[in-house]
Amino acid sequence: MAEATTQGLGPAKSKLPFATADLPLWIGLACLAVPTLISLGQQVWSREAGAHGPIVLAVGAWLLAKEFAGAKPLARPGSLLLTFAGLLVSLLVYVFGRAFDFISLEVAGLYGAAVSMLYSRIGMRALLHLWFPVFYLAFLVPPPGWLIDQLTGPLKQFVSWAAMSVLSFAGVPVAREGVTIYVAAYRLLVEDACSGMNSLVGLTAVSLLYIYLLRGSTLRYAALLVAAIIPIAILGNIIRIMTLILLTYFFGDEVAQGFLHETAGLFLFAVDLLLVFALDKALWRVVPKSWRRT
Amino acid sequence: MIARRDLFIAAAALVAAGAGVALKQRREVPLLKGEKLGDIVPKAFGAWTSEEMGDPLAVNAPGTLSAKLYNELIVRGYTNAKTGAEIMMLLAYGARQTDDLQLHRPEICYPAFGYQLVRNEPLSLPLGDNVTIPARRLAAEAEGRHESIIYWSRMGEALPQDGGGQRKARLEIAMQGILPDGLLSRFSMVGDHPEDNWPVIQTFVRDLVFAFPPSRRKVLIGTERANRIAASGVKAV
Repeated sequence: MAEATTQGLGPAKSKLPFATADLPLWIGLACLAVPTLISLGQQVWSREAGAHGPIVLAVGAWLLAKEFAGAKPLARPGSLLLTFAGLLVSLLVYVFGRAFDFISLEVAGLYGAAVSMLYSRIGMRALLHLWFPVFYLAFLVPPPGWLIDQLTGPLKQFVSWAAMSVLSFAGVPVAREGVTIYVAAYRLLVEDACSGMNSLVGLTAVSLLYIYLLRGSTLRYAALLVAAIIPIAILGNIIRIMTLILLTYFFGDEVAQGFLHETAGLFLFAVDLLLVFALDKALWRVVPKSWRRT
Repeated sequence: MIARRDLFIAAAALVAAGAGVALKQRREVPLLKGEKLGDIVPKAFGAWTSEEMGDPLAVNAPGTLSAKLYNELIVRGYTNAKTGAEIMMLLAYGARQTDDLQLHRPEICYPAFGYQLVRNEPLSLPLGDNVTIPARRLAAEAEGRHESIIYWSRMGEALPQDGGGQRKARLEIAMQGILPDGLLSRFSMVGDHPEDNWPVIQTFVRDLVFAFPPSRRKVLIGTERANRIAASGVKAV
């Protein structure tokens, strides 16, 4: 193991085991990352919009570790100029974001600094080999709330309308006024209507992972599935709201609200993954044979 | 051996981490100190009397976004004894305006609640003697319901008139090392003639501001404007 490491690093000056030589980078990264992770935990991750954060971090780190073996033979130290240019820009963005409380910029800066460090260590070819985990970790950068609201606000309306129409067709006594839904004696507010479809980013991240892990598929097939992510996220939300309405109708307000606050994020992920899975199963039979092979 | 380049990188990261800590704003300068907004806002003034209401457009149940955004939410219906006009007032106060917990603007919220914005324009609401509130007026409709709305937002001492202005104001305030408080003041009337309703709301707002104790008006409109109307000695009708 240690031998392979030293070999992979070939031209690097280091003769020490990988871990020790990397210590300064790890310390530098930790100094940047720990305060940011604490902020993320306190702000973004504790809300529906960013609930996917810890999952993305864990999965991204796991993927990175998993793919690293394949990248090692390609590893050469990156260009000094590019490393420091990347680092400088990233750190400026980081400091600005951290000092003036723009969490999106802070995380983007941290992400850039981490990628610059990785590039410095392994160079462009190895970095490109790791493109998916690196790209995947970019989902940690929370998009600014106002942007999400503007992009997905109209979707929210559609989602509550669609959920209600289906149930009303099935004979459940529901009525709707804006995003307020009346079911039997209860009044249900589609949660946090002022914000858009918060879960969209998280759902995209989860779906991408599934597609990536489908090793047997061609790029074309993967692209087809990627194109379906947003409709799936919308469908997932419709199912969530229908579940909420049905829970309220059959078990009362408290059960529904409890469900909503405890498990909303996880439930959405599960629903979404199942939908991607089902779509994959269905498409697999329909698409031309040539699309399927790698 | 540890590469020299790595030491440079680590040093740069340490400097950045230190700069982030050193520059991070900490000072909170709330314009509402140790008081409840609900106690300050006059419950009755002139011909207007009020009663507390719930607001379907800002349900403040525990755990909702609204509860996290706002420390205090006041919803009152004011009725004019002479004209019979009814105005709903919503004041949403947040003591700490951070990046992801800041005022939500009605031009985003109304459409989210199923309203269509028929009109949405900036408005300089006159308080008298060249003092105006940079506000917005909206006309919204949904399934046969029509509302005329006037609102403005205060972030620290700034009264940003749109979403971009709000972000800019927050940055400028942050650069002064201040974590601002924020207040959304929204007034609405039911009815499909915004041109008739807006002037009624404007007069109401002006009278309400002057019905405030002079030292508390800054909570609504910021210190500078509050001082200017106090100095000009304009009297409410």
